Amino acid sequence: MNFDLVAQLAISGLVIGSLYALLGVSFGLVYQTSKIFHLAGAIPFAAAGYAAVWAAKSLQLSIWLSIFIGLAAAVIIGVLILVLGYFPLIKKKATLLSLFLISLGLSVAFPNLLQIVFGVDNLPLEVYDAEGNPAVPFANPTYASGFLTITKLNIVQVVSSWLLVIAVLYTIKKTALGRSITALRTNPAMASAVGINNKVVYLVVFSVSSFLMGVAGILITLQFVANPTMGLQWTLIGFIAVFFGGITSLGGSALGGLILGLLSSLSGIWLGSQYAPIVTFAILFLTLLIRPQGLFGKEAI
Amino acid sequence: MKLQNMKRKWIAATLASGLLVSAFSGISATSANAAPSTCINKIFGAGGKAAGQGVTINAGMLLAMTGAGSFFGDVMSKGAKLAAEQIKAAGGFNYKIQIADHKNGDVPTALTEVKRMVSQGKIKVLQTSYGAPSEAIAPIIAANKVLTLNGGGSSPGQLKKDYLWQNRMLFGEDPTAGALAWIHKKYPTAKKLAIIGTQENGVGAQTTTAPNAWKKLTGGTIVATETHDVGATDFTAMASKIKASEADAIITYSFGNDPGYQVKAFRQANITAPIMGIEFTSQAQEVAGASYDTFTFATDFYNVANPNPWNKCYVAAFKAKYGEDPEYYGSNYYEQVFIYWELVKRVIAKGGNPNDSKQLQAALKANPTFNSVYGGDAKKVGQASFLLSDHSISKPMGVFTVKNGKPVLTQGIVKVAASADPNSALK
Amino acid sequence: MKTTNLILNASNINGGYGKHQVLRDVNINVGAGEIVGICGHNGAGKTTLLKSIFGIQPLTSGEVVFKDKDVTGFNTSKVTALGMSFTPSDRPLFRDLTIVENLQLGAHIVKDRSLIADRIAEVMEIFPILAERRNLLAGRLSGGQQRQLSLGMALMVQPSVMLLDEPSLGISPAVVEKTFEIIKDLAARKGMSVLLVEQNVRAMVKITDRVYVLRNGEIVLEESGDDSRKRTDWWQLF
Repeated sequence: MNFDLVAQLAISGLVIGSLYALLGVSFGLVYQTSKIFHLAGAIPFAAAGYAAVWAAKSLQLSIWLSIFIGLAAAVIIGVLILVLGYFPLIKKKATLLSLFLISLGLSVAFPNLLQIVFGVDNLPLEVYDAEGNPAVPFANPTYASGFLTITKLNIVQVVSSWLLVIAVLYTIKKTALGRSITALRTNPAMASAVGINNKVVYLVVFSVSSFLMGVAGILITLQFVANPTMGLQWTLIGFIAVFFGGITSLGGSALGGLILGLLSSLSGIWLGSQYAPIVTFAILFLTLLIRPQGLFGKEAI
Repeated sequence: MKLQNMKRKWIAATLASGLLVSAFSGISATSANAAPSTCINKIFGAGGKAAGQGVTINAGMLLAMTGAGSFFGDVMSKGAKLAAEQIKAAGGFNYKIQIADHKNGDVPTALTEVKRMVSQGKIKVLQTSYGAPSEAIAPIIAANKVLTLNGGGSSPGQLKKDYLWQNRMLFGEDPTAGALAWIHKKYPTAKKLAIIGTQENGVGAQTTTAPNAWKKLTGGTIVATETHDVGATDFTAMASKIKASEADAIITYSFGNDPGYQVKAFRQANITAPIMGIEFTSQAQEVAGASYDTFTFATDFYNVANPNPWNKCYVAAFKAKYGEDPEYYGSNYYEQVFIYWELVKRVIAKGGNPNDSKQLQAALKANPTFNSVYGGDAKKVGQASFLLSDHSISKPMGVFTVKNGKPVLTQGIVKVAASADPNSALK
Repeated sequence: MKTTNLILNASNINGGYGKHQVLRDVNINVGAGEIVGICGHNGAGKTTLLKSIFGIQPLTSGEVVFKDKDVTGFNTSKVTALGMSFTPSDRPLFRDLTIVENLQLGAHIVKDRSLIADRIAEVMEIFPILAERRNLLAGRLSGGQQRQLSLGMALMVQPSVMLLDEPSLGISPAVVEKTFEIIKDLAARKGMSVLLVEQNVRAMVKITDRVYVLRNGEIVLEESGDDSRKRTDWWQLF
């Protein structure tokens, strides 16, 4: 076996797995609290990328300010989905299925909206000149050590993903907000009895989740481009990470994402690249078959 | 991954009712007796009755108007609309366009839409696009005698079909010999080749044509064969494997955005081997950014800067109308309207009925060579010929390098038989 | 029967789920320091009545007055802040959190967070077992201990009225009596009122000052604790 190749694939897997972990925590947070299968999490993901490119292109802002605007857009649109989309349905005691269908509908319609407003072009996030033409590409040097390479952005992706994951896990574990989320997740009736306002918790959870989605969207836009369908593919993998790692455990979702990334990348030692998505789904299938509660999940009580 | 396709279908489905475009071309009623002497007349002759003035032909277009491929539908319809306007202004026939949406290649939709255009829209000619829907509609157009041209998405399955003609080189297959011969000429020591592609398009080129040609040219080996799903974005794992294979050169049959993602990932992984592709889109260039300046591709690429007089006339008109340069797909659909015009003129000259597709196809078979915005030079309009044996086309091709994001022709190439010396593809 | 110093008065309560009416013109009240029991068959509407008073279950008509204030339609955090606590029958705590965290959550609506440590200490004094196991997950406690914890959580808001839904549920018969003793003791010690719903009538009437019997959503009997303790024909009433 070629050791260099294995090590390089592990690096790729770590990078992609870190992003999956971030997405897994974002999705898991919403799912655990509200039981909503929040497919529309793809929207803040794409919105962050597009808003950042728009700010860089139309407002001539620096990359950092553009990223800030992208993240703000992600949070705003995530909260709007909750307030205008889910709240009215929850109030009418809609089933989780109808909430999911709304989510699905939104996540399908949004790329079309992006396409109508911004066109079908791939939009890179970089510094633009006054005419809106790309002027200074985003600098992303490659660091090499012998055979092994990693880019600066890859390092940023890994570090920022895990910092955020740890921050969220710490908040859940150690703060009053985290306890409220755990309370609402594990026993909504009792949460209501002790006076926890679930609307407030939902608002906080959706803001945080959309922020994480936004960060992922920005990191992907920096690596590639913003395009209308960028959100769905990534968020679907985030969902798989959650079910793989364990729906009852946020830390499990994060580790599930990491392992998923490593496995799909390392499968390249034996399998062609076209099998990577199949590996991902096969892992999910086997997990659901052998350990339905997920790798790190608890058995249903 | 397949998700990409699923996504496209979802997207298409949601927009179905709202955006089902059945637009008619916005041809303004130019007065017929104005004596036009446009650049079109200089190349195609005077207008008037013999040039089809007063003849209206109902023309269908089957395009991707919604979904991820709506870019293609947009530029294709732009090219055809411009041609129809120019021809009418030059005193030619009235090419009356109706556009149907195959929703980014959805076959059942394509079948329904073509049947509808035939029965209700009374179309006599059709410009189609994409591989799968065009293969699927072949029996309908043959049964109803609708002379059909495909300028975007040729595939072996569309060959030798009555009333169906390809105005685009066969994807991957045709430029392979020239592409590899060029690599061999430029990098004579290269022996190890990596081949990348998808299982959707150009499979024969990946598995047979390219390996055979490479061995003939260099006596070398194929060190890596990688396939991926259409629409994949993460090529870091593939980059690791290509790098570990120590390939001296890479040829990729991926299309759409995918080569852009590949080149970016490969260069970031410090892979320095030359990468040859078989198409160029500005979309992929946007994805890859500056790294695309290390990309080379071989195809029947449409060259905006081609000094061929018809092309200059075309580019100027396109810019005036749409405010941007024409590109590859729009140009094929522009050209195709002129092919129909030429056929109408021939049928009229013989005293026939230009609204009879059978007569139009007979005129095509009688002389399958037409003017082209490809090839030629500053003094001479280019020419392309349909092959009567299989209804494919032979157009001037080239190897292009990318400079500052724009393709530059570096070597003309031609299609050669599989048995021939690949070096003979270099013109 | 008239009670002076009413702390809670629910009048003409009608309510239910969708078209299914569960409560019909129910009138009940609780005096200051009083322990009031509600008994009745499964499905008589006991739990719905408690939830309606606490504001979890919306009313179709009727009025709930708590400490001379009309609290009809208030959300649970407001009602809790006024001094009413509600302990559901099923899983009245958070199994995945520690005992301390559960108590902290019990005081969720307490704005002055500096009070919380003192109150936890106070609860732990009443229930020493909770102090011993303060960092244990609540799900690991025995049934009786879980009941103690749920009472402790209710105490965290220093309620004037505790609403208890079937406090005997899920604990062994041996502990039931002790639990009711604790409730009685707490009410006396804190000057609290208690409104409790219970299937285990025999255990309940040992501590109640007054009892209502609910049948098919209607109050069919109201009598004093002494009278109810003499009664032997409970089943006929249901």
